[in-house]
Amino acid sequence: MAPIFEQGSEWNFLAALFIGIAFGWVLERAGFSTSRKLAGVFYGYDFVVIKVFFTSAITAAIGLLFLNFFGIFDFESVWMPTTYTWPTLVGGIIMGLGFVTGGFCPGTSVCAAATGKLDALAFMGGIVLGIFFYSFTYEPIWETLRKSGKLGKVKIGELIGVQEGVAVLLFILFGLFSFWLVNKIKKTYNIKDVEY
Amino acid sequence: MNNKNIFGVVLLLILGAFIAFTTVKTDEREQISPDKLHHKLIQKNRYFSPEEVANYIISGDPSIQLIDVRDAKFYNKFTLKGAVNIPLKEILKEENLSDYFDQDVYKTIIFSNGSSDANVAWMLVTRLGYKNVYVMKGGLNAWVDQILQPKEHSVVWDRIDDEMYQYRKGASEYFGGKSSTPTDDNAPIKPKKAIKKHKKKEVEGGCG
Repeated sequence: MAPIFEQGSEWNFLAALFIGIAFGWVLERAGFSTSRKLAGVFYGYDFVVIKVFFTSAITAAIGLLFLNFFGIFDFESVWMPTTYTWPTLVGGIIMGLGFVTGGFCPGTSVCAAATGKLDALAFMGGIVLGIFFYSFTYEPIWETLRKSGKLGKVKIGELIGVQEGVAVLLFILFGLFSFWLVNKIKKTYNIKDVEY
Repeated sequence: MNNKNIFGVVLLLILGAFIAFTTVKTDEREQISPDKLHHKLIQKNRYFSPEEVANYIISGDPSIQLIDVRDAKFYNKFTLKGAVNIPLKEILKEENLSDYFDQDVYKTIIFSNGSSDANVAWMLVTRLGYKNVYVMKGGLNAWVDQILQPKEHSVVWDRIDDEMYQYRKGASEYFGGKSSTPTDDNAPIKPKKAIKKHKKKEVEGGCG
């Protein structure tokens, strides 16, 4: 039963290296290493980001639950973050602002910098500055916010009171609906797919 | 919609419908597997000898914590310097586990009168996956024999035996055993405070 390597094993670093390379490759192939594609979703001329995010989330959810069902994978040992309502909202807004102005999120900026994009390098510099700012002002400004609205480690299914499997089915339906909606918008406003 | 899209939608719906009827298997507490436990169990290095423990205490080594798993009445009569009392029957209490065993800073050395109660405690916490847990070999019986009342001569006596004897005699004096001269040093011993472990910062997630 997975995990393949024990927790804390040195092999995890090697696994992380290969997963990281694969992740970067997929991001690059999806076109996420260009800020125009990423910002496009906010301006309404490119919807690849939505499609890729939903596809990956649905694939992962189905894969995890199937592997768990066949006893190959221990679903409960999958790490997930604790949910804090308020910091998630505030952080989401800040991140969204960075996303729409910079055209990258942290991972894609590294990916784009690897392909030699200068705006991505500038973006990464901004991330480092932001990290320093957050670290040095953590206690006076952020600490109370950071710990507010703790919900614990909740899954969406638990929150709305249905089983994990049902929640995944609902999520699939939602994903399919969003694919349909995006296609509809593209057709209505005659938006073409662009390769940068 | 073209055929490819229809195929994708139908496939997703079938998979989703199947998943909706499955349940997630849960396992409440993480435990280590029997073969791993057995492997740990037969390792000699899960023991500390009374000399080693004495050495730690005398040198004031900050990296150990001593846990006395006997009942409180025995603990109050006599225990090792700095030891904390967690009776065996209370060892699985959540606060005891979280305060003393859920950490990776100290070597936790468990002792009782002999070795068996300490071994039971060792087995329980090790099975729950806690690390850096050791047993003092022979327990307090061995402590009294070797540290507090060291025997002078065995039939075969050599330099190493002599060094050991001198060491034990010294330790015995330190701990106020047989060969010590009476002192006024009756200061009460304070058990080590439980460290409130700062939970390791969780890895933050992100969109990528």
